[in-house]
Amino acid sequence: MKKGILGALLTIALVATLSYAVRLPAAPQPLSFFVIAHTGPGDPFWAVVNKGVGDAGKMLGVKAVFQGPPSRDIPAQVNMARAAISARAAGIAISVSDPPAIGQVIRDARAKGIPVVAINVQEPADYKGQPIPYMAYIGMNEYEAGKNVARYLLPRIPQGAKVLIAMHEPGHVGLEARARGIREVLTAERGAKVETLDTTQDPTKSLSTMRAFLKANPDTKALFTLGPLGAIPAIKMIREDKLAGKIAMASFDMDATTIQAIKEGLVEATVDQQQYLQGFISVVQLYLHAKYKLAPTDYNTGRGLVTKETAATVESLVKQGYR
Amino acid sequence: MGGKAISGGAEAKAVEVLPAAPPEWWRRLLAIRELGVLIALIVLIIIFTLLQPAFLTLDTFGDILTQAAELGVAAVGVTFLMIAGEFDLSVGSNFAFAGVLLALLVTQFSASPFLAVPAALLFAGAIGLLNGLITLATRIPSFITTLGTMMMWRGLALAITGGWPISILTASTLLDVLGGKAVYRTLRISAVWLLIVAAVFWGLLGKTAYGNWVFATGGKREAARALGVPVNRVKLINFTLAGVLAGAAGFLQFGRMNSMSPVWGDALALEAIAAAVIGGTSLMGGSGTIVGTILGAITMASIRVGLVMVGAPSYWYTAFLGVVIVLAVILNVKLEETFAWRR
Repeated sequence: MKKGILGALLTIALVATLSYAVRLPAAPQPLSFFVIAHTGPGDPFWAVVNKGVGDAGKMLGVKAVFQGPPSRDIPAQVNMARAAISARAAGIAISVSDPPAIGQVIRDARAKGIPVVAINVQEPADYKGQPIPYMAYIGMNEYEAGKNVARYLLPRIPQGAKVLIAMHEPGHVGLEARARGIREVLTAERGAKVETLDTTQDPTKSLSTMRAFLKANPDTKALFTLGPLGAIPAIKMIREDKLAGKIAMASFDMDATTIQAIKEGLVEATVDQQQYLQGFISVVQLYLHAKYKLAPTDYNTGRGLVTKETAATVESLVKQGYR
Repeated sequence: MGGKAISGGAEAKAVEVLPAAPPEWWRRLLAIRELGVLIALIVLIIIFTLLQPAFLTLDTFGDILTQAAELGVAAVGVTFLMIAGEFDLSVGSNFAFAGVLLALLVTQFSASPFLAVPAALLFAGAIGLLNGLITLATRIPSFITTLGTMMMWRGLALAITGGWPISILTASTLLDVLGGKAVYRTLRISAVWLLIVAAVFWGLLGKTAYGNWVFATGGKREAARALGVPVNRVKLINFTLAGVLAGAAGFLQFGRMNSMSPVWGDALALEAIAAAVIGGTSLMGGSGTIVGTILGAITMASIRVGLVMVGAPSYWYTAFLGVVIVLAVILNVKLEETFAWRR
């Protein structure tokens, strides 16, 4: 008797749960957008993208989420993108950090009818694989930016000089493209000997590897770092070894340390790719597509260099997390 | 060879006719547990110096020591724990969290360094203690406990900073004392901290009853219990020490860079284990030395600096480092097998 009642109750509960679960997807859900990067908000650079995503979501009244693994991790990024597809995202923005791996995820998302835009890193111009069907690219052209910053430093680099590029994430297509742009300009214009050094993300290792390089190659005339994780130890080294004036340094992206060093004249310039826009605009474009079927368009966020003249203005914006 | 056949009054003669018996100094040399890593380090230094004479200078060595300091301080704690038969994979996250905590205390809350440093160290110790409590109470392997807490503390460090490095852009006595100040040319004060930590823990492990307890805990546990060694308490203390030293290493990097990023120390846990193992610490527990671990850390730093100086293709470093780690461990194991009597 007791067993019968219990069984009946269980059946009712089960049926209720199942019918609720089956009905769930049909219920109207708020639009949710996912911005997925190969590195998470742990990198100061991505923290700004995170802010852009959050601000756009708040402004539009939609769910906008930024995700990325703590340090560069393509499989983890792929998993996050797959989770976003399963969550029936209204749109995905993703960095094409690894074209074959990310390309497949983008194809799968598009096959399920989910709009996808690329941010930050796009499909390389010479990519031989299957075309990657993202709808637009919102970000900087890394290769062009590398050429641009190298051209800016040309007056400081004599013919045939030795130049060091500190690579903090080897294999990252965006960073490699920056380095390629720098290398091409310097070899073409100055016949420079350009060396690329794997400095790792660890600042202490990075500093002593760079110093070891300069010791073995004291005739090095210029140093390029490819982001704050390379710039923080490089600036430290320039200070400690009193290299200002001896070695011209330029970097990419901005953080408090780099801006301070530009103001002091230790660093000539840094590339500002306005990554806030990569987060903000990608959500806005995906939203407009979801609402009004407006096709996303390419958006170049890369915009020149921050130099001693402009450093003070952007500094306060860096502190607020917008630049 | 045939030594036993000779007896009694022939002894004096035996020394003369049997040169096969190893001389005393040779036996003593082989008895040094750190012999493997010492050989590896000397060979590397010779190779690098032959290829690039500038390698063998005080400046280079100062840089190597500075690089080894942060790894070494954390690795000493990891070694202590490994000898007691446990692992801590969360040291890298603890390194970042404690460093970020200290940075926040002195910047956001304008706390006095005299308060902030002990408070942050205490917290780092608590992180270690928590690892120990979870491991011992639930009897899950510390490898798994600390894998979980590794992610947890890294995540919390990211969350409380919003991912931003916390920088002190003005002159700071605190940072100078922690690691920023140059003692002599490229030699930083962090290397002095490494020496102090190494000396204290070398004494603790080799010269005190507690040191014997640590070895007993990681060796034969039942035997240790029978001898009255408080195995669990030893483990808890070692987990706590590993935590404190991981935090201290984070402080050194903060002092060195004037910044503390929540992503730093990412590879620290495995590098600390590598330094310990290169230095002759057993993965099974029960054996290991502090000097070996320090030499292991110096070896790893030397490889990085040396490869750059000899102009090796940059993207090969990590691969080369991996090969050297395996070779050094093989050398250790072979020495151990060949000269089993030195245990």
